[in-house]
Amino acid sequence: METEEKAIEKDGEERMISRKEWTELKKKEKILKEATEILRVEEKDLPRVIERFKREIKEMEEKLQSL
Amino acid sequence: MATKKELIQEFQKNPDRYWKVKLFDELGFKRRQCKNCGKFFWSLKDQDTCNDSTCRSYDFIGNPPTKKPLDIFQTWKKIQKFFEDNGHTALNRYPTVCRWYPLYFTIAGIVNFYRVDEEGNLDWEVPANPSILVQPCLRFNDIPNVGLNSKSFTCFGMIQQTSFFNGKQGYWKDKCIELDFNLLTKVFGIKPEEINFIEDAWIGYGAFGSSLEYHVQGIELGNAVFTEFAGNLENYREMKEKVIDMGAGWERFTWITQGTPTSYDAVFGPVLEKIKKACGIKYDKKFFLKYAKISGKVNLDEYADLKVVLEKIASQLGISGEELKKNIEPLQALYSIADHTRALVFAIADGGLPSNVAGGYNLRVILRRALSFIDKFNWNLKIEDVADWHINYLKKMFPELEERRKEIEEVLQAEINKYKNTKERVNRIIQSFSGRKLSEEELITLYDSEGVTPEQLGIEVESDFYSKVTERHMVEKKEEEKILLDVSDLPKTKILYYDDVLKFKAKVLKVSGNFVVLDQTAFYPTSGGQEHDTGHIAGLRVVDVFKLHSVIVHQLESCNLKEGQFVDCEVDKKRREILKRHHDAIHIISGAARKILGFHVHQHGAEKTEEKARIDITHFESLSEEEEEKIENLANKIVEKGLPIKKYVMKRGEAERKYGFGIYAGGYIPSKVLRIVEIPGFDVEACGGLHGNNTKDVGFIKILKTKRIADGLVRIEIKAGEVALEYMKEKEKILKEVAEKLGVKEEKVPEAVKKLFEDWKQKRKQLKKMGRKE
Repeated sequence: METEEKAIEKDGEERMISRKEWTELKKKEKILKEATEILRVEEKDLPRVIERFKREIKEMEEKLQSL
Repeated sequence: MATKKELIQEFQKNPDRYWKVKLFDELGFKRRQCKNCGKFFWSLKDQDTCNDSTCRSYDFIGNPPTKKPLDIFQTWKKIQKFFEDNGHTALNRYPTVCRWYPLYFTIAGIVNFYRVDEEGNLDWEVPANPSILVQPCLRFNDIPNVGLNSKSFTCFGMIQQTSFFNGKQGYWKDKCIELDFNLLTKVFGIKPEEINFIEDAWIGYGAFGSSLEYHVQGIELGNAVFTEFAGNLENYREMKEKVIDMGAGWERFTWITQGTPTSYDAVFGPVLEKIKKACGIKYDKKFFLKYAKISGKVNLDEYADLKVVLEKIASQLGISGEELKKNIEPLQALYSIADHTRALVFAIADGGLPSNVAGGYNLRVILRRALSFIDKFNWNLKIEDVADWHINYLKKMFPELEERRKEIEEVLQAEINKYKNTKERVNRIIQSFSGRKLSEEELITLYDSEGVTPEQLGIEVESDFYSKVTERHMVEKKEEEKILLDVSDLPKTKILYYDDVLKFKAKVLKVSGNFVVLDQTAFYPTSGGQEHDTGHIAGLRVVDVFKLHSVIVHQLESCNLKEGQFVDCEVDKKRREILKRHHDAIHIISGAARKILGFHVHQHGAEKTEEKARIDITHFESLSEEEEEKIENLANKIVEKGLPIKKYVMKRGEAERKYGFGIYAGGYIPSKVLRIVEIPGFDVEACGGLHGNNTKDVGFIKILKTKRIADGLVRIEIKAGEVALEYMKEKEKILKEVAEKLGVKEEKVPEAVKKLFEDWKQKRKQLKKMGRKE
């Protein structure tokens, strides 16, 4: 028997996901939004920007050590 | 025939055919010509001038010709009873915001029954025959006269007597005038010899006919139009079913029973007293009585300059124009505030919204005009209070106003705040023109773009300024259809898409370049904001589908088809399902927005594509994150509830009676039958689009963003179902990637990003510092 938690059902078309999974996705969306707002970048660009910051920090550390 | 004047001249070749009724012969009414205005009229008394206001002063002021004074409610009760006793059905009022016909507002009682048929011609929807009702109407072409000539309103009640006559049912001219004459004489006690019937004609939307206006002691109380020709003056036919369209002034009937200096004094009841008290207005009643009798004759439309009119009236009163202006200006302002606020109360209660778009523009004009008057005279008066007083007075007859009280106040408050903000820009605007006199066009543009009234700039405008402004926003503009190919010789395409057909055989009826017309099709054409289907016809890719009148045209990527050929066709199922879900989702979001934000929310436009969908709703401010969240949550609750999405084909009138005019959320539909899409207990709309069978099939709905796209319009972009899921999964993927890169749990990502950023900034600072030391 289907519960509300477990949602996929066959009624001609596949149902998407459960409310629990959807809420989880929304939670993650919120976290991602919060993170992008700190750096004021597009969500899709965030991994690349993080990578750049990490690289630049490393470079700056090396530079600082050499001074 | 080209003009109304010419039409009257044509009818006058045979006046008995067009104007003479049985009652005139029975009682001895004679046809006469007014030596003043030249119009022909029918009266019992031997008169050489007619009773029109331009030929006779308002003799009823201070000396009413009726039995006893009545307020607006008593007036209507008497009229209603009389017509009900004479076989009429009393109907409830229709909304003042017109959603069933291409007009923004209900400008006359007869508009209630106007519809458009499939060919775009005037069609009628008649709930009862004969009928009577009082219809609050909104008109914005007479704004300068409001408050000045004692009888003009932007919001007025039209007593609408309607009869459709086909020889068997309803009645025609004789009975109409007999009834109206009895109403005046037996119900209101007006002496028969006080009544004039003035010959006139009426040209309306796709129909016209002769008419008889009835005037008593200088005031036109009603106009009985005998609509008997369909078409325009160049091309017309006699109608099989003729229409009695008698519109009488509810305010005027009330006024004549009271004989007050103005109609405003008679109809606004306690509201006016409260406004006068709040503003501390006192006036010389004797003087005003004299002024009112003369000013009733004034029609500002005939004068470009208000000063000229005032000088004319002043000379008759034996005072200077300046003195007159000083005396009457505060009263004109007061009456205008009362009228404009009443118009706003009805319009907002019926879902109208002051804004910069469509008909909302006119509502903004009158609200800002009222506010300008308050500013000008520095009165301690709040429009919200005036609205409350109107609701208190009117609610016993219009209880729906009480139901909407809170929303009316909310909408007014938001609009008043916007007005206050524009005031701050006024000085800047004045400076930018550095003393140069602004042209009328510049003033209109300034009003359109900035919402700044000439009064705010301290500029006196010509009397027809507001008429010119509002005329631009009275009638819905219809986009012209692009005709890509001639389909006039083709039969109506048989539609298969409502039957969930995806594969079908069809006969090619016409080929023109890459355009193909079939005898039947399951390909949905772009309409109602829903994008067209794609798929294949005889293996050839369908790239566009659109409707030309009642023929559906398919555009192929390339085409080698021959006319007469039979072809196998297949609609792209995946795209169809996504479009269906997006369409369902838009209905759900529309219903949710209305429930969360209020009754004023209506669909202004919508688009449903494979990638996403959007709906533009009428709302007075941007949506907050909390409102977005509430709308999305409610929408998803509806999805989860698994409510059926019911589709019915219903007769237009039956659908209107069952569901109300909210079914025209997406605009009027030119059809005698409507396809109704209902999510029971939540949303119901007339809609020709494709829909699923249950809200749970839509899948979760995600609001991507909301944006105020124009003043009074908010766009909501969404994704639904698998498209929404893909979108959210993509975000999940990004978050996972970022968390991995940062080496933290996902919930710690913002903290880690912040730390990373701080670290980066600090290192940069250190480096700069070290660099300077070097």
